[in-house]
Amino acid sequence: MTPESKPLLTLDGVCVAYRHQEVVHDVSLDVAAGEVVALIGPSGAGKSSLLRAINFLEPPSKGRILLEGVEVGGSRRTLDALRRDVGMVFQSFNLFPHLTALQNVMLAPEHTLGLPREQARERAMRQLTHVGLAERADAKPGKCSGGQQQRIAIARALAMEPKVMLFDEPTSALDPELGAEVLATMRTLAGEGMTMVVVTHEMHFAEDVADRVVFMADGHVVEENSAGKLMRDPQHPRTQRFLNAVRGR
Amino acid sequence: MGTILSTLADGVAQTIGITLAAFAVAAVLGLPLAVLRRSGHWLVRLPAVVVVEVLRAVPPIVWLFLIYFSLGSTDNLQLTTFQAAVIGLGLIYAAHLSEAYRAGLDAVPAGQWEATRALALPRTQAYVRVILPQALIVVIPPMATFAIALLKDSAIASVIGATDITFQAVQLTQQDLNGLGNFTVAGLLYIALGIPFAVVARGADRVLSRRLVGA
Amino acid sequence: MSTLNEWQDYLPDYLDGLKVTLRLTGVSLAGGLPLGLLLALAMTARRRTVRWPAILLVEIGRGAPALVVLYFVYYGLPQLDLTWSSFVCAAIALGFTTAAYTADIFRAGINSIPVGHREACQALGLSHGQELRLVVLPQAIRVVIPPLIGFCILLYQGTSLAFAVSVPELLSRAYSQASITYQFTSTLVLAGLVYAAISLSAVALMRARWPGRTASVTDVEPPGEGLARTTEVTHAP
Repeated sequence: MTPESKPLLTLDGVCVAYRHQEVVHDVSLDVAAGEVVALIGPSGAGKSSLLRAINFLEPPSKGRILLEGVEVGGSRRTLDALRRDVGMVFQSFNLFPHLTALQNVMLAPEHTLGLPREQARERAMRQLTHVGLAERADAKPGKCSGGQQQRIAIARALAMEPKVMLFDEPTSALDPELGAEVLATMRTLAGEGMTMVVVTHEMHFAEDVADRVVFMADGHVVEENSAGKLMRDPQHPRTQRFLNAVRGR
Repeated sequence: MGTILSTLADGVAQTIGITLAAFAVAAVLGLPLAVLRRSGHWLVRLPAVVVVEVLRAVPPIVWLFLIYFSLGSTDNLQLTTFQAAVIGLGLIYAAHLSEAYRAGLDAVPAGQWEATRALALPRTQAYVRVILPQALIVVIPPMATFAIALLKDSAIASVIGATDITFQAVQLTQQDLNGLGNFTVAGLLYIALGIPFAVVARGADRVLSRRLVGA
Repeated sequence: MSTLNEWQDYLPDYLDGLKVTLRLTGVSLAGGLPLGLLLALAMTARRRTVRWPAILLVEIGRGAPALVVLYFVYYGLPQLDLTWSSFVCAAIALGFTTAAYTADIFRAGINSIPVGHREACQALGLSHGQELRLVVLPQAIRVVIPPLIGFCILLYQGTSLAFAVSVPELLSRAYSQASITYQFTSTLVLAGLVYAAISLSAVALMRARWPGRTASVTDVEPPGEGLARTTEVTHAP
C-alpha cells in the first residue's frame, strides 16, 4: 500500500467484549482496495470476533471502524451503508432453507437494495453463474452439497456488489475435498481484485492467495506482514510456534 | 381482597386434594399403560392404545359428567363429587402421563436394553433396576407440567359441584356480584398454587441439561 | 337397540349443538391466533417495555384455568359495562386462552430459527421487519403447524366449558336432553362419541400428514427451559 492511497477499510483501536469480558484488544488495521488479508491464529484468538465486529454483528466495545474514511456505527444510515458494502460469508453457511438457491441470492438485492424483481433475479443468476452453480438455481440448499452451499452463500454476498468481502472460516465445516472447491472460488474472486478479509485455518490459502497475513493470539495482533514473509520467516516466537504446530513439524 | 381471599381459601383444600389424588391415580395407572404400549405384540399394544386415545379424545368435563351422573348415581354406587372428579381426572391424566413415561423410556439408549439382555436379566429386573431409574429424571419435567395442567383442569370439578376454589368464587359472586374481583383472585390463586410444580420442573431440567452437557 | 333409537331422536339437536361448538372453535381461533402471533413477536422483542407486558399476559392466560377466565369475562366484565351474550363471552375467553397458548407455540417456532440466519439477514442489510417477514416467519410456520393443529383439537374439546355459561353447544344439548329424559348414560355417551369422532379423525389426519412428528393429540415435547417455558402439553382449559 502506497502512503497516498486511502485505505478502503480501517480498524482503529478496535476492542470487542462479550459479557464484560474483552476478547479482542485494541486492534488497528488498514485494508487497501483489492487487498486480500488473511487472519490466522489459534482458536480463541479473537479472529472471528474481530471479523464480526467489522460489520457490527457484534458492535465493537471500543474503537472505530471506517469504510472509505467514513466512520460507521454513529447512525442507522452509516450502518445500513456498511452492511450494503460489506459482504459476509459464515462458517455454517446460514443459507435460508425455505428458499431456493436463486431466491437466497436475490433476497437482499430485491429487499435491501429495492431492485425490481426481474433485475434482482438477473443479478442473482449472474452471481450463481460466477460461482459455477447456475444449474443449481432452483435447488433448495438442503439438496446441495456443503461445498455448493457455501458457494451459494458466496454468491448471495456478492449479489450486493460489496466493496469488501468478509469470510469467517468458510471451509472449516467442510470435508477437505469440498473445501477445495470453495477455496477455488475464493481464489478466483481474489484474482478479480475483490477486497477480502479471511479468517482461515488453511495455511496454503493464506500463503498463496493473501497479500498480507495477520497473526492473532489471545485477542492481540501478534505479528503482521506480507504473506510471503510472515509464513516463511515469522519473527515472533508465538507465531513460529503456531506455524510449526499447524504444519505438523 | 381480604374477604375474597378468606372465602376462596375454603376451596383451596378441595382443589389441592383433587389435584394430588388425581395425580396419584394417574401416576400409578400411567405406568402399566406405557409399558403395554411398548410391547412387541400388537394384541397387547392395541387395548392400551385404544384406552389412551379414547380418554384423550373426549373433553374432561364430559368424562366427569359420565362418571358422576351416569356411573356414580346408581343404586349400587354413589360417588361424591370429589370421588368422581378424582376418578375422571385421574384416568384422563393416566393417559397423558403414559405418553410422558413412554417418551422417558424411549429416551433410554437401546444399548442399555441390549446390555440387560446380554446379562440375561429378567424383563422386570431390567425395568426396575436399569431402565426406570434412567427414565425417571427425563420424565420429571413433563410430569410437573402435567401436574400444573391437572391443577387447572381441576376447576372443571366445580361444574359437578365439587366445592373447590372456582366453586367458591361462583357462589361468592352470586352473593356480592363482584365477579371482577372474585375471579381475579381465583385466577391468581391457581397461578400461585402451580409455582411449586414449576420449580420442580425447572430443577429437573437443570439437572438434565447438566447431564446432557456432561455426556 | 333402544339406545340406538334414542340416539336417533337426539341426533338432530346434537348436530345443531355441534354447529355452535364448531363456530365457537372457529371464532376463538380467528381472534386468538393473530393475537397469539403478536404476543409471540412482542415476547421476542429486544425492548423490555414491549417484552414484559406480553410475557405477563401469556403467563396469566396459561396459568389461570380457562373456566376461571370464562367466568371472569361472563360475571366480571359486566361490572365495567361490558355486557355480551354468553356466546361472545365464551369466544372472548377462549380466544384469550388461545392467544396465550399459541403465543408460546409461535415463540418456540421463532426461537427455533438458528441465530446464524438472523445474522445473515443483518449482514445482508435486511431490516428487522424484512427479516421477520422473509426469513423467520416462513421457516417458523413449518415448525408450528403440527403443535397448532394439536392445540386446535384441544380447543375444540375446550369449547365444552361454555356449557358453564349456558352456550347451547354440544354438551349443553346433551345435558338438557338428559334432564328431560333422565337417560344420563345414553345422552352423555353420544356426546362423548361426537367429540371423540372429530378429535380422533383430526389426530389421524395430522399423523398421516406429519408422521413421527406428533405422538398424539398432546405432543410430549422434550424438557423445556423451566418455569414459564416448560412446554405446556395438556388440555388448554
